[in-house]
Amino acid sequence: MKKFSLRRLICAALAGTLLAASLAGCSGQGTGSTGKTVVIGAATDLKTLDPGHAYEVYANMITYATYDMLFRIEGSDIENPKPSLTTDAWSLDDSRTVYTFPLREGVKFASGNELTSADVVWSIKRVMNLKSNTAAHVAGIKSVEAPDAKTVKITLKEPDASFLTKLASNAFCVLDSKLMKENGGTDAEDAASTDKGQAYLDKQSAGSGPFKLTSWVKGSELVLEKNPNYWGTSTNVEKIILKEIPDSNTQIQMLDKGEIDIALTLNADNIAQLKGKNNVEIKTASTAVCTFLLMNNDSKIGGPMANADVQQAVRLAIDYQGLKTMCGEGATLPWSIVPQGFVGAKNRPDNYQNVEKAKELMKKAGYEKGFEITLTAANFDTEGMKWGDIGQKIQNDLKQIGITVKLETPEFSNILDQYRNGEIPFLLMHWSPDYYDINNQLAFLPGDTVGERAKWSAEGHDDLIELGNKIIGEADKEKRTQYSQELQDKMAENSPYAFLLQHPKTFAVSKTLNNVAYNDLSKIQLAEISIAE
Amino acid sequence: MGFIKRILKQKNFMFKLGIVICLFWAVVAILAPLIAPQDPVAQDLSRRFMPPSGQNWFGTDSLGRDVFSRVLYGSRISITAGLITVAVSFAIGILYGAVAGYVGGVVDDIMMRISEMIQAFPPLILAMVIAAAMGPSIVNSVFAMAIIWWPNYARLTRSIVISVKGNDYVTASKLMGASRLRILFKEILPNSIGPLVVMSTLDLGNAILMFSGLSFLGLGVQPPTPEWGAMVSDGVSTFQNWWISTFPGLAIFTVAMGANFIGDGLRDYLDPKLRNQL
Amino acid sequence: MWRYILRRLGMMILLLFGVSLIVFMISHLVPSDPVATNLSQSAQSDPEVVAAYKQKWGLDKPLYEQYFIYLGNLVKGDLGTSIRTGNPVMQDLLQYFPATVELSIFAMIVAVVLGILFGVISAVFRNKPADQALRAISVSGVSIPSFWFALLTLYVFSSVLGWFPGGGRLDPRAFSGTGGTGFYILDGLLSGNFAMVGDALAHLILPALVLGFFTMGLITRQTRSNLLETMSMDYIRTARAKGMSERRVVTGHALNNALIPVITVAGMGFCNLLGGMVFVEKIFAWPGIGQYAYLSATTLDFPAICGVSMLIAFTYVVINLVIDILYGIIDPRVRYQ
Repeated sequence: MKKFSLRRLICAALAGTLLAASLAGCSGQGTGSTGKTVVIGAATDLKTLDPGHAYEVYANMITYATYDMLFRIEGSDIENPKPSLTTDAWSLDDSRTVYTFPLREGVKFASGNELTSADVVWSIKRVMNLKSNTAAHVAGIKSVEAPDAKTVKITLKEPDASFLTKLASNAFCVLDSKLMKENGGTDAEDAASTDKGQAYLDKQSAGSGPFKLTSWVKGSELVLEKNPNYWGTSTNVEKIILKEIPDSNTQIQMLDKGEIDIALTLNADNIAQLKGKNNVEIKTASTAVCTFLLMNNDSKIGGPMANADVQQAVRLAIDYQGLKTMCGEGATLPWSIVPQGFVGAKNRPDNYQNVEKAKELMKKAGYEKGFEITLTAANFDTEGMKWGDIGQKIQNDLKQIGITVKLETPEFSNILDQYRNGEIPFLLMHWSPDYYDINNQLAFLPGDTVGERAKWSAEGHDDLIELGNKIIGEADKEKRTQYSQELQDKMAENSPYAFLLQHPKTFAVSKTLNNVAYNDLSKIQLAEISIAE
Repeated sequence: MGFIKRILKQKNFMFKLGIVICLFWAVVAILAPLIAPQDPVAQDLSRRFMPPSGQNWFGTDSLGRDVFSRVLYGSRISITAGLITVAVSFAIGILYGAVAGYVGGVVDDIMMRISEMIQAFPPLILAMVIAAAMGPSIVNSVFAMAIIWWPNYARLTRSIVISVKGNDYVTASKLMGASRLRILFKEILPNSIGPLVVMSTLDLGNAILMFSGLSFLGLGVQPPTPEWGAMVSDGVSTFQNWWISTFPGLAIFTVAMGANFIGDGLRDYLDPKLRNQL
Repeated sequence: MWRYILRRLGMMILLLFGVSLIVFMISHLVPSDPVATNLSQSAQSDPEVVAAYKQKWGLDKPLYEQYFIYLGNLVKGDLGTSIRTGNPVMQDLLQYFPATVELSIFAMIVAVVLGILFGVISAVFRNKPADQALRAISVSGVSIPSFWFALLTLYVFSSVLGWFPGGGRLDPRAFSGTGGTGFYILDGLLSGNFAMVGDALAHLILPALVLGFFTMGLITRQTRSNLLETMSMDYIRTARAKGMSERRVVTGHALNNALIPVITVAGMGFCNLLGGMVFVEKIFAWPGIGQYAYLSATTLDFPAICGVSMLIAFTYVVINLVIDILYGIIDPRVRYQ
């Protein structure tokens, strides 16, 4: 070991580094254009691609490409789901609880198996028995039957005006039941513990959509390839790659360099980097996600926040215009629980802020000298807008009416339990609907899910609850609009919530792509994208 | 005072520079309210993302706050947190190490295994978990850092204690009937303080780096408190507005560098083998 | 020597046991619900769904029982299932670890090569401007906040100058990284796909530089002071007295001896890399263990945190063991006890 020469070792290492660097230098552009491929960069939260378990924000983006449902959202038109696996001949009986869906002819799964009513029934029953994240969508179903091979009959417990919207979501994806049974899937009563289909569906899809899933490395890369057996017309895209890129600046860099075609999860502030680039188009779409303040209505928990006058003073003290500026182009101000895009949605006037009136209310409530309160705003963001930033704005605004806000920004997972149990006095939260209908928003009513979290009990609020019940089943759109607006007007200035923002979705797309449609349910309509020739 | 004079007389330029930098930041921290041109938390949404100018030397951030004033105030948080972390680890470590080294035997063995266990733990990950679990706050992140930091001091103290235990003067005081504790505190520890001081000076830089790192990840201070790491992370989402991240980052960098310069200088000074090299 | 290695391995098991115990203790002393993040809004309000979920993940059992179940599985090589990703933790670790190892190896090359080079120059020209400059660089290395440095290099070299790709490991359009060993450079070389090797290297350079900078600082310092120490020793003086050129004195005699302790520092530096990894991977969109650890910690995904911690602790112990053995091989004066 005497001749152990570190010198030689160093020389070799140095040479190696130089070689590596030069190799890297000459490789330069790796434009190995592999057919018609679209690459999307995004920070997604995908945990599973099993339609029976998935609820994550970007789940429908994938399931919309790989599966068919009875109804489907087309393009950006989230309000009017269109028949997809069923035909225009579908019907609803007079009790408004029995739906009959004749199935489209000649639909095959990617596996080559024919799609029949048995597959539809099996898929829905599986979801009902899985008791998983999709449970809310199927909760209203009494029975689902297949009178013949090409007809499906679904009976509801009560009329539900939002049922078609629910049908258009991943809970109702139709799975290849033959394939699934071979791979551990089951629709039995005890499916919650016996179904082993999830592991299979996380590796490949079992649907009839325009694409099929060919590989998925969670948290890294997901690949979709064209389904050769697809029944409908498809575009010229052969392959779609979804690349997990957590940092939005990196997405911008990669889009600019042509490494990706769509940078999907950006925020209003960093998108400015792309302004003026002529190979990229910046797009803004609307979402149904709203941020709101929750003021606990139980004075044992909320303290002064439980006072109705204080609650209104808080609403009046906030500089909504400033919030809108921070949130960026496309941001809107919801009047109450109903976001734009839902029936009867109303907006808050931009100049709603009225500090003088807020001060009067504080005085009336006996808090002329103000008080101190902790606002919990988790270390989280809504469409790229940090809750900490919103919290700092609120802190700043409430100072004007004497409320000293102390901010706390714990991890999101740490507060969920307290949130669910209604233990937080003053909280910033967001609400992202499970399905795109006003019925989903009724969780905010007193005594309902979110109402309970604000300790806002049903007692003494019969009028609101009655209105809610009318909305749930009302088929007539005009009447439903009227009820919706009435509800918003009642709740806007008399509830333990202050609705802040309805957040826009900002993303950027390479100009080589055509027809990139976005809606808040399926996000980018992957199957509709085409590449410019 | 002779000690300090001798140190300052050294030819080591870096060391002096380190002292100047640290004194500078200490003065800034103390005088922040007097020298900051603006309220560090005052928002002005009409002046968001202003680049550096005569009015805002370091520009403004996403809420229109003056980055310069925030950087000045930030020194208070970062430096205090670093100092407390080091002080707490120092105190725990020195006691733990002295006991282990002085008692020896099985006790020493067990105590050292425990400290090794903590050292083998990836420091940042442990700190992240503790901070995430307990909820972010200055106290919690200082606590998280102290937990992973003390074993370094414990090990160093222990080795010094063991090496001086057999020295003549210790034996002499033992013969004179001094109690164990008395020997430990009066004879052994004072003689081992030098290397520990060097270590803690070098560590101060690291502690400030890690504290700002935790804040960068959202696990440190609560907004709107101006803290350098959190301020760097404010700028991450608006890359093109480079000034938001650049200046607070530069501040962390200089403070850590100052501490390292001083630590290096002290080490060289205390290491007799190197003293003539300087 | 074998007895020594065996003893060290025994201690390693003890260490891993301790690490798992620490994570487990933290995970359950904490008033938080890791499960809550994993159910939808409506599912959370359904007690039946929540109960089914808790049962599935064993969260309804008493604490010590959960720990023994965990230990039992651990012995079988099963680290449990990540709450966040839903994958077996072992599978996740195997997926993310190669990326991290690849990056650390390159960072270490940068650190060792530059560190020794700078250290030698610094010592030879001590107290001259070159020495002062290099010492300033090496102190910068250990003083610069890596998250800030990463951000800065990404902004300057990728965004403004456009010399390097924007992040990630490969150009996603041109190459698919899946299906190989996970070490992209190795994969490219094995399959003869040199374009992929080049692309992977282009993605590697910036993060490797940033990550290696800290360790480079440590190594430069250590090399300099060791070299200065050895050069003051008698045998070097003798060599000088015999009229040997300064260059030969340094490269032929002093350097080899001076570099031995550097190995220890390099080992420490390697372990330090794993800490800096969290920031560098986050900013360069590098899908490695650091990102995995960060996401696991912030979602309180304890099976994953425990897995990552044990993996890193394991790496740490193995590296230290290897260094000790290397030490003995290079320096015959060292004897194992």
